[in-house]
Amino acid sequence: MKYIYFAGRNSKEILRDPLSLILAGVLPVVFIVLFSLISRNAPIEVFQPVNIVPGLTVFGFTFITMFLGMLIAKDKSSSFLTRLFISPLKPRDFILGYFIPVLPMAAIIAVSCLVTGLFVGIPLSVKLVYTFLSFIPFVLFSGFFGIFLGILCRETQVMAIGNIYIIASALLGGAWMDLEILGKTLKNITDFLPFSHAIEASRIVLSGRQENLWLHLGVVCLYALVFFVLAVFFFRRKMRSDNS
Amino acid sequence: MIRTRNLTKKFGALTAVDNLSLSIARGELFSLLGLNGAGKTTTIKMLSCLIRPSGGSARVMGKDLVKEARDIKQKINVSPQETAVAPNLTVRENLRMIAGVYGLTKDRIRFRVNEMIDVFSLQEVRDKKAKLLSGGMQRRLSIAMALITDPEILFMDEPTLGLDVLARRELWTIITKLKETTTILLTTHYMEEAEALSDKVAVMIKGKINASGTVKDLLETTNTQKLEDAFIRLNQKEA
Repeated sequence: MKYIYFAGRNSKEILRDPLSLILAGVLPVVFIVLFSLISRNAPIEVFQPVNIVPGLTVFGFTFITMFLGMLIAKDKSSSFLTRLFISPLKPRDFILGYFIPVLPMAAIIAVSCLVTGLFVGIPLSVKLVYTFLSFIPFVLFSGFFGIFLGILCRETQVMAIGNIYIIASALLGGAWMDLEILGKTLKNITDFLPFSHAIEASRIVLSGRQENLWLHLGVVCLYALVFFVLAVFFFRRKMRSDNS
Repeated sequence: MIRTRNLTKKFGALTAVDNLSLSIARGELFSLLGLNGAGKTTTIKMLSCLIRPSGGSARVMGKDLVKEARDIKQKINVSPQETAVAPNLTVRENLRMIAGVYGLTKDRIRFRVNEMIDVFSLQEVRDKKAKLLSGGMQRRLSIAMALITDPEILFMDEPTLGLDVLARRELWTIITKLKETTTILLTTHYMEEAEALSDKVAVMIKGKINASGTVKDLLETTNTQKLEDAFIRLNQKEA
């Protein structure tokens, strides 16, 4: 249970940065309210609460990747990680210690977005719980991708890649626009990325539809698995390279 | 407590530590002296299981440095050359976190945190975030984090670097008290520090131990009155 102390430290490091809370917690909520207000005047399908709430929740999760990547990159650049590499922590303790803070952050984002959804027209039902659960694969992917970025890149690189990643997820995920307007080529690209699948899976669950749910969830799970393997591989390699 | 035989570390063509053989007894404070790049920090990194030796062997507390690194890690701690603290955590949280990572029980953590706060005079800043502390206070916290786990061996890499005269003297007092219970391997550029604290010293030049023994031994060997003069003479002779 040594990793619990390390995870506690990582949670505090991320959550005590007010910018983290504003960007990840508040921004998606503000956007949900904004797009819902617009949808009252312009009946655009993608702005309807049942579509916009899952879209912006997934958008909120993408900030987790950047915060986690930044934290790891910062730790790498100081003697702090060296101090911990000398401690009895094992590679799995490091992965768990860095991943665990993702869970409360993701829960805060998901709950705040879904509760806001109730105020903008989503009916209170058990579907909200299922929608919450449908976010899990993308949350896993976000955490492992953050560890992967942090261990491979320097702080400034994580910042740059993180920003591109967030913008790409918003544009190519279809959080607030119909992906059909991107054209055939870009639409094909989005099919190979996890964002639109994560959003679509949650939209299906929230609206009570059934079509292709497992296909969408499967793609996101595959991404989560691939980046879990990559995160573990590169973290172990980092520990070995410091030890060679 | 620590015994190395022909311990060597190579980085490509560069031999940072060259056939180092030394022996440090339990409860001894052993200082490694050397110019920049002499191999002091690399030696500490090897003996603290952070980097693997390229050759030779070492036993720490009777355990093999490479094969039994996990057992060794549990009983040692390091005060790195740079201050190594978690900036957004308070002084108390930093101490608690390191104690937890080393597996201390909750009661023991509470006791040791309060003890370290007292020993390092951190009472007034105990609930302040580390990033808001002065450089000297951060350094104290960093060293307290190395001591909170009650290590049997403590590696201190230039512990007083960047401290003012008063803070340095305070730290000397703490280190002197520590010598009663802990084996310490210390690197320093300050000769008066080595002279005041060490039971034994070794002078490293280009990765090799050039001379070792008590301060008195070194003064006799080099026919000098002060350790600084002895150190300069040994380096000039080698050059």
